[in-house]
Amino acid sequence: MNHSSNFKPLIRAGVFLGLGMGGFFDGIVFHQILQFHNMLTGKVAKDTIANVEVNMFWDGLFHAATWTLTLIGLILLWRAVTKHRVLLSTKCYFGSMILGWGIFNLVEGLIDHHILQLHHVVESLGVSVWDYVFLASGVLLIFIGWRMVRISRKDEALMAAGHAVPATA
Amino acid sequence: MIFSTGSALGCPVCDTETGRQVREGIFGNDFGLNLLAVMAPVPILVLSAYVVSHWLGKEDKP
Repeated sequence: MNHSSNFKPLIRAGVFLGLGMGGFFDGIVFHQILQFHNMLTGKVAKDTIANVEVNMFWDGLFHAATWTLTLIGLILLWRAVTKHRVLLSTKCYFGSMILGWGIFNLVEGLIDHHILQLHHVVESLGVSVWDYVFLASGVLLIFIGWRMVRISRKDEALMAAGHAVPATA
Repeated sequence: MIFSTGSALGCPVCDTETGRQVREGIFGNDFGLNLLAVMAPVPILVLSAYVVSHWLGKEDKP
């Protein structure tokens, strides 16, 4: 088995960690610090203490899910470095994380903001340009992460062929 | 109930009027639907992670 076939465990771990990091960023920055929205503010307005608490409960379940995705990523990363002969490429690993973050923004944005309308990025505006910016950020992150992983694969191929590659590969 | 002092206390396990409203809000008729809705992205995210990593991790053809 050569190095090329061993990228998959590192990519998978990075993508899962990226999903988790994307979820935590959303929850921490938008739900808690800026308080632009909470998990169910599209259905349950934060107009009473009880409704704020109800939203906090669903935020908690959302964070439990992102915690689980992060745990899966950590387990996959541990397995990747202990059970597989993985080429530990920084570009590939961080590219995979960025890719996972982008997938989170795109999937969560499409389902929660547009299809189910559980909440919107800025709840007081309803569906707004910020919901589309959120989707666009997902597409951009996916593109950047995808490119980083592909470039790392090319660098690895050059290394295998005996050519010098940048130290960051 | 865990907390019973302070009428303004509101949490799912608070023995207060606000606590009762919180429980009603969470575990009302919409609980199952809300749970499904909040968790809806998770299986798609997991599936996406597996598909993308499988595709990107495939060995390049010579």
